[in-house]
Amino acid sequence: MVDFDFASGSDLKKEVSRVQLDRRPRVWSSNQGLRARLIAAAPYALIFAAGAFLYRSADQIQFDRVDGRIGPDIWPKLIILLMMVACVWGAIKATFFASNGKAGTAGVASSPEADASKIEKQDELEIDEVEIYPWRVWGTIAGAVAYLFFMSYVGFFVSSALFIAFVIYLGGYRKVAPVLTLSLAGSLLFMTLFIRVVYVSLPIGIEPFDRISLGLMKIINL
Amino acid sequence: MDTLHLLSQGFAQIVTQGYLAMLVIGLFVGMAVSIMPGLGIVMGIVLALPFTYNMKIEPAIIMLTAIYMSGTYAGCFTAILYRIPGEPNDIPILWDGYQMSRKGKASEALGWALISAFIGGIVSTVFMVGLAVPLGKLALQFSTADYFAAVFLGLTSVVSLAGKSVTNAFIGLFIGLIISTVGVDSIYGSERFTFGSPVLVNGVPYIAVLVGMYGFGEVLSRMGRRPVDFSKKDGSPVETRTRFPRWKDIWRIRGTFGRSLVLGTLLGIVPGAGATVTSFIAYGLEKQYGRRRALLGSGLPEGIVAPQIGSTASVAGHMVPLLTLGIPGSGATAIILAAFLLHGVQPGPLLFATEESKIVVYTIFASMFMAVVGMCLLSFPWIRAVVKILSIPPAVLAAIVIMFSLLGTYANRNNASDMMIIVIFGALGYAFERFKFPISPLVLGVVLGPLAESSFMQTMISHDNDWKAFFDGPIRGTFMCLSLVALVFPLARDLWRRRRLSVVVPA
Repeated sequence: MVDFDFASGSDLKKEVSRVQLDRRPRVWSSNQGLRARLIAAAPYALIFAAGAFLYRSADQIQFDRVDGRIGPDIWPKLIILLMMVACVWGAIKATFFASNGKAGTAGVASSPEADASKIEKQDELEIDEVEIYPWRVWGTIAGAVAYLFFMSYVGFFVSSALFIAFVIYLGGYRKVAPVLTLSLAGSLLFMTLFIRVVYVSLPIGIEPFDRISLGLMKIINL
Repeated sequence: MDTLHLLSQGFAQIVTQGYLAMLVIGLFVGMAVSIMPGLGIVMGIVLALPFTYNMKIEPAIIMLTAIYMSGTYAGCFTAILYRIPGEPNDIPILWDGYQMSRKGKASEALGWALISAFIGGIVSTVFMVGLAVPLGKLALQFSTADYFAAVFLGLTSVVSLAGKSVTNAFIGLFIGLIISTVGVDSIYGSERFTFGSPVLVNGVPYIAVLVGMYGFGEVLSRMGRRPVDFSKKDGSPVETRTRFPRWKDIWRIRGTFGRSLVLGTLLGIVPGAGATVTSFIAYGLEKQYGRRRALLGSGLPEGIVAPQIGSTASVAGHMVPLLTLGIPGSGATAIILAAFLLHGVQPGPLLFATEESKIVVYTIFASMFMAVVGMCLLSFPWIRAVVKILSIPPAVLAAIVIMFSLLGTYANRNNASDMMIIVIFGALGYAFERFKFPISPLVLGVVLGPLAESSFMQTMISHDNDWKAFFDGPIRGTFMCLSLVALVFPLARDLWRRRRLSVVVPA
């Protein structure tokens, strides 16, 4: 947390000077600079490529053409073209006009919007947390895919209990007994809630797992 | 008179039909999600959505609106008590709120927040009820071109106010609009972007997009970060009492109340200017024009009143374009629109056309008055519970949210492929957050895409492909001009900032 004196003029001046420094054109003299520019432009290039592919797909949409009428391909083509233009602009900005990303908000003094922006900037400093566990993210995605894949085989109860335990453990909570209790109780609770309240039929799985699901459903009278 | 009569019928419906229970549940859920790290108002509404599938339209919308309303208020508890904003709109509150807390005035700070939320909520709801009827009547005269222009304005203003990068916001919007075209086209019946997959023939379900981007995506982003620490650094007990301000103290800062009320209500109507933007601007306005502006940030009630009124008042403002035009102005109202559509009701001018549908609308209006009163009453016991709720480990919370996200969407169509769509959009939501692309424009693009396309196509077909049709009427002309302003606004804002910057510190 950063303590910030909102009313202080000296802080504001420091901030303005820093912003002005930020706004100077960046000198990209090293390979590292080139790499950073390419990384910044990569999402735009990727979306542009996807747009080009989709535009080609839109060209192949089949329909009965009527003279003087626009077809079902026009609207998506229009949107895709606009998206590609925006990507080109984004890539140009990221490559040639990159600032430190902090410009344009902090140096403006004495106006409601400026003050609001300044607080917003401070907000970024305070709550824009840096990602420190990327493997947890990829682990959760992989776990979710595996959970959905195995659900039809092992049934909702078993797969959910395993998945809940996996997410809790991956999230950094490592007390074995509470994790096991929470995952089993949680799976049972979700099963009851969604069958009883939302009226959803959940997968029971194949032999021998279906016996677990059916046994539990009998016990809790579902 | 007609309005009052309908409103009283709305109140009667809530009491006699048992909708009150849904209102209270919504208030509790809104208060819970707005204070828990990793959850938020939008995610709360998303997670509650599956439970509305089997409800009638009124209790469903009442519950979701109550979550929205109370969510803009309860986040101030953690901002004031722990210096951790529950929602982004609570950030300005923590400046003065936490300072008051540090000075041993936490109960007073909570009292100011409560009174501000109450006044902001009630006044803006009154304004909304008054404005909805004339706007609804005007909207009844809309042609398809007018409708397209209105949707276009909604989309452009959301983009222009979306955040730091307008380019990224536009890209997000376009991706959303493209997603909405997947499946069989409604006019020609031809398949688009299905790539031979039967799963995509009926289109990408917008519920899966909403839940994936806001629910699963947010959990993924949170999983990669350090959990928030709610322990008191000095080990002192947390003050949970609420002390109301005296009338003379309220009267002393009547200017703050007046300014913030007008600003919050008016900005609420603008699509894109959600509770967060309103809250920040209200604080900024106070910093500019408040009587004690120089002391703001040191623990003044004005620093709590302005942003709290601004954010609560914006909720009612947002409901106006949603109910009268069918255009959501924020992520939360986009999900409420989705709830309407799930129940087979298209919000818009036709909601004001028949007596039966009018009662539905006025029941929702009445519920908003009751939600404001209810959230203020419930906040007394709730603050004590907050302190306990915050001890739930974030990893456990993440598992709960993921399970609700997956099962909630599965429940909509009993289709397992929808859960995989959630995982895909969750990963996309995470990538959006990682690369600083705002999520709301994409979601609004998905929800409003079909409406935008059908009004565009119908206008083009009925006007022989004449593009001028979108500009040659008073209503659509006005909307298009406003859209142009919304598009030019970010550019003008940047230029203005640069000029101001060079004035403040000469190069």
